[in-house]
Amino acid sequence: MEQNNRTAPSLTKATAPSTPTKSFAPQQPTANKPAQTASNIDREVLISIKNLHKAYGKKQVLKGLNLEVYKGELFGFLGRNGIGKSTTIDCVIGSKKFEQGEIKVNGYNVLKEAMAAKQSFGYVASEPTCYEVMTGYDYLEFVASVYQLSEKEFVSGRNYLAERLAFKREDFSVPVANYSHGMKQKICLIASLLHNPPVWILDEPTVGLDIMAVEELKKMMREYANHGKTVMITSHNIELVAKLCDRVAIINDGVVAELLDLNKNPNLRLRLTKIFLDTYGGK
Amino acid sequence: MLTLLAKDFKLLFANGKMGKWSWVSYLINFLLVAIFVAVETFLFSAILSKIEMFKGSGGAKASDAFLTIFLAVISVLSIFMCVGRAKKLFFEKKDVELLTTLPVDNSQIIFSKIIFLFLFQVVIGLVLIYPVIVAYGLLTAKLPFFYFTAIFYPVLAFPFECGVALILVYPIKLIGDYLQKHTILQLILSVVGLFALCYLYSVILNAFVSIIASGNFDSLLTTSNINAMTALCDFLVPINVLVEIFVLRNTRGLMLYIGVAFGVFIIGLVISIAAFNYFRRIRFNPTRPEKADKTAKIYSVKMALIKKECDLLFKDSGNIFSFTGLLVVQPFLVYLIVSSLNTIFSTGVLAYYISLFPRFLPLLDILLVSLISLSVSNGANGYITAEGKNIRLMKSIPVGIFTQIFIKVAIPFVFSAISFIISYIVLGATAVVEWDVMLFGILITLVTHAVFALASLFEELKIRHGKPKNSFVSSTISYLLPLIYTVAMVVVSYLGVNIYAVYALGIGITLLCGLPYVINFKKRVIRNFEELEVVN
Repeated sequence: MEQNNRTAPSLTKATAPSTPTKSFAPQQPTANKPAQTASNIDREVLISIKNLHKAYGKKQVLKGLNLEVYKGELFGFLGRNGIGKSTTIDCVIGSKKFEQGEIKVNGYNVLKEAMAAKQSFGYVASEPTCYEVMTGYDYLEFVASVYQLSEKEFVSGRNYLAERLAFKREDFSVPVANYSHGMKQKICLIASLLHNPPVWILDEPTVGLDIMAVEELKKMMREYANHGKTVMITSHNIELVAKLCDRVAIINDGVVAELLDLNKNPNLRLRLTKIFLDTYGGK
Repeated sequence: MLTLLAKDFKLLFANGKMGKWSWVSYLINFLLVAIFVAVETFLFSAILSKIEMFKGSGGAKASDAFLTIFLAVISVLSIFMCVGRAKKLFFEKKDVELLTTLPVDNSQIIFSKIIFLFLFQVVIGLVLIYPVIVAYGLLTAKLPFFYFTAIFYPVLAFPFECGVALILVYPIKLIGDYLQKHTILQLILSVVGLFALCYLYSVILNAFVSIIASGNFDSLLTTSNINAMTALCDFLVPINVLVEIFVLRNTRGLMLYIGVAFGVFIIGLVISIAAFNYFRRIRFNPTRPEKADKTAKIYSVKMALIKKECDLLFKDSGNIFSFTGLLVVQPFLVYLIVSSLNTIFSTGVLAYYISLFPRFLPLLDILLVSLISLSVSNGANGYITAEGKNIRLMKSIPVGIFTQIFIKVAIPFVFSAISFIISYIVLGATAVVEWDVMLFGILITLVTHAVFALASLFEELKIRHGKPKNSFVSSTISYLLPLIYTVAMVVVSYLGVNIYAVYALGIGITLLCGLPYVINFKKRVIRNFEELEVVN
């Protein structure tokens, strides 16, 4: 069982922040490379969801959802609006209670070993979630303090990620309330990676970001996965998921309706939209 | 242009949060305004009828002087309301963003906003000023024509009031923007403002106390006070000119007033138009100066949470007048109120009745301090509401829920405690209360605050799916609990029970009220918090 490893190759060990790709530098080209896809490496499960049931009042949203996400893969989670994607993510990160089932992150049960599980992931919500009365500096310091990073790790990680996401340093000293939506999203992305978690969970991460930031984020997600970490994203952008992800799950009627290995069968990348529509009866 | 005007009126009356119940909100607002006008007119009439008999210096009638001062105060209020409205009209970012994208001429936008201001000011003037002028006319037996011409008072007052407001609006906006970036300065200025209001309150309170002490209103109406009031009117330009025109029918100053008023209006208009265009085209996205990197500081987890809670309390400008500013002025306010009330109850007939209940006054003092401090604490008991969507953050960080909640409740409690302890020390040091009353007061107010905090916490933890918080219990505790234990202690002390037993009774009642909250406290807090969910 992999521990929450601060000693693993991490972004905070970047020696030259001016060379952004250094810490995420993949061993091979950045495209989906067979050598490091989930089907070929040791299939250690980093996110395990078993028989997940969740209801809102009388409405049963998740009806025994089962899912496994492996180490080193970029996993896409698709579904139409209101189908339960964010609910699933909320159950994984401990934000919502569930009636039945078991969820493990990095081997830790999210209910019984909640603290260890929470140390193991970084999470970015679809709507930026941060303290708006704080400045960017203060908020990142708060996150770093909660995860008990060293000052060196914090400063190098913060500067490196800010450069990657084109977040101006002078904007750190402005209250988050004065940021644009995109800037808030960037600060949340930075905060989610400061502690170099083995699992990175992103809920609609590209909303509000400009094109350059989206492209950089796509690179970062790919590199993070290539670095042996696990990335799980939910998105409405089927093209993005089709291009980027190793495997994709489509949720319907409270369960995983389709589970596709896009590396095993690259044709699926071109047909993903059709498969998605067919899952919902073409509607 | 009519479309633009209609848009501004719709935004003025928009109340999207209440949906189909918005008519309730309008009705309540209407009733509140009606009550305000009724109270305003009653006070004016009551005071005016007393003043009528006096003649001020220079032959000017005291009643005209009083009317001038009253209208001047309303005029100042009206200018401030106009400044607030003009700021929203000219410098609301979303409104300007929207208008910039539309094929609408700049002059039409500005003209529609000026007309809106005119209509807004005239309506405010008619609502606030006309009833006062009517009351004046009735008391001084004016002819019917007086009531007709008085309708035009707000129209004539508009150019001057609006002009002053338009001159002030951009500087006030700049000051507001500056203060928003400098929280400490904001806090200092707010506290100074609150102290000024408290001082004003003390003047009014002292006047009230002297009325009570002497048994009638006439003690305030001395010749020197009336002469001072009449002399003040010479400085209340241009309200004194308007009063002369409408009340004394002296139109000598009319042309001069019109010239000055429209001059001020035009200056204000020019400044506002220039500021509006500057705001729209240049200052919309101000560049930020580069700042040196802040030195990183990593705290312990608990220290980080404490710092976070302090930031939420002190950096949120919305808290200044509901909590943080009041914490600072509370000792001063408490001293004013308690010492004034002690004076009231120690004089005249009340002193006799009080003597029948020997411990009534000290227990009343404790009641007042408790009520005031609990009212202040009410401004910071939105523990979960203040987090909003950040509940998700609270739930996903690797910090125990109980630790987070405990610190969240403890921080405002500690600040409230410091404030009311200082209040008691001030009362003790100035001999308003005795030392044993001071010590017992600190103890019982601490316990009451703890019960209040627990009740508020559980109410907050029971908020579900965006439904409004049910704050019935905490509100009841904040005024009923101190009342109950005070009454109980007064009754028991009347029966001759030892004073320390009386104190113990008060603390016992309070602890009893808090008992349901402490049973299985930790488990219940964690369970309730886990059931809190952010709506997707």
